[in-house]
Amino acid sequence: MTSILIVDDSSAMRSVIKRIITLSGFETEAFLEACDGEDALEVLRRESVDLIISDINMPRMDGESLLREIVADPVLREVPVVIVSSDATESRAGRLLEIGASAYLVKPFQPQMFREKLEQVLEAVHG
Amino acid sequence: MADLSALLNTAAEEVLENMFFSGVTGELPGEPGGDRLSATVSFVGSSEGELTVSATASALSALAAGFLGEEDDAVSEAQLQSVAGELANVLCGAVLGHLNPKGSFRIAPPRIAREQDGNAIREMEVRKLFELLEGDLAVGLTVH
Amino acid sequence: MTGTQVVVGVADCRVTKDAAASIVTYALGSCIAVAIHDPVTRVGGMLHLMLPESSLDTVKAERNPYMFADTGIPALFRQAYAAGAEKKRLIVRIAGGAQVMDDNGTFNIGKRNCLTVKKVLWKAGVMIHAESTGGRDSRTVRLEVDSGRFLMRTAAGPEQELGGRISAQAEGFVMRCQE
Repeated sequence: MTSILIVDDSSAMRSVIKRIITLSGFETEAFLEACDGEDALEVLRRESVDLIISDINMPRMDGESLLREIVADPVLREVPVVIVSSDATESRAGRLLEIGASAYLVKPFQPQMFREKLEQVLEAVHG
Repeated sequence: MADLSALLNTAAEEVLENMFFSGVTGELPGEPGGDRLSATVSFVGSSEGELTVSATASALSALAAGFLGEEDDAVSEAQLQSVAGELANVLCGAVLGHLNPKGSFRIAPPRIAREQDGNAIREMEVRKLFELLEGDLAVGLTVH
Repeated sequence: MTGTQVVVGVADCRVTKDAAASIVTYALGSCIAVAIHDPVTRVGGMLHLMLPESSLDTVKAERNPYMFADTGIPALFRQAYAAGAEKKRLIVRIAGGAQVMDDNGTFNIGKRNCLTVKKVLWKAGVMIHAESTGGRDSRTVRLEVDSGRFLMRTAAGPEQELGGRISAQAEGFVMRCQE
């Protein structure tokens, strides 16, 4: 049972991420989507997921705040979080990895770059 | 000023090539024309300002199709707007990352608008009209 | 070298199930080689394309679809399916797109070929497993049909394998929930 939550205020971006995951052959039973951090927490209250992919700059609650909420929760902290953001600054990437993100990928990226990053994260989780 | 101009060139190439499978074939003189869709993001932090992109519906459709992996004529209005917004967001992030990689920024959600003849970027500090295979892309950048 | 050499010329395409074969194409320059392989039915195929869009010359595209990325790639895949390949199993690798002439413009034909190939594959719903593109060296590549190995060399160095490691997810995976 593989359930992935994609958090991004851009529906186009959510669609691209879903497409990459599907075309890469990752067996995914369900894609859940949220348009920002608050929306994501609401989804996570109802559903259990195996992987969270999140943007940073979003309305209401950004990805950094969402990540902090996730790692503070005894159940949610076990779920790997991959941050995907247009923020290319060193401080942001460093801080989010320190808080507990499993990976940080900067937009723009080519589809295979995203797939490789995801493979690394999943192998680390399984390994 | 020259810095921002070169930065915009570099960032536009990076973003268009990696996420849109497109590229800048040149820069066009003059003002953008026609009915256009624009997306504007403002940013705060180490620097403050705004970035705007604007393109005709047909250029944006072709760009959106490349981004989404769809055929050119299969892109909805909602997808067009979402793609325009994401283009502005990612381009802004790329510019800021080059401008100040050791800085910190927050980028606001994009504002979408219809505009004509480049009105959306007319008042901006740096203005570019990139020639793409899909048509042209106007970009405006102001750093306060 | 043992085994059959199946040579792909410029603006050409070959698909084979001959387990003893290597499909090879030479001196890619700004051209792009698209190599595909089904590891289950061991169908191998390679396209050597020259130009990005067939709209550049529809008459030529009619006579030889392999010249262009947007007509050549679908033709390559169709031939592979006819030989027993399945889309979701195909391992796809690309090579070439070098900048071979001294060019003032930043948007040279090699780069344009590369972007168009990637766009065509993305729209077709196919992921690229490995690539070696850009730069200035002209590449020669071969695909071993039995093993699926994709090897590349340039004037600069010895033959090297591209994209040797197929990850676990290519075989499919299921993630378990943390209890």
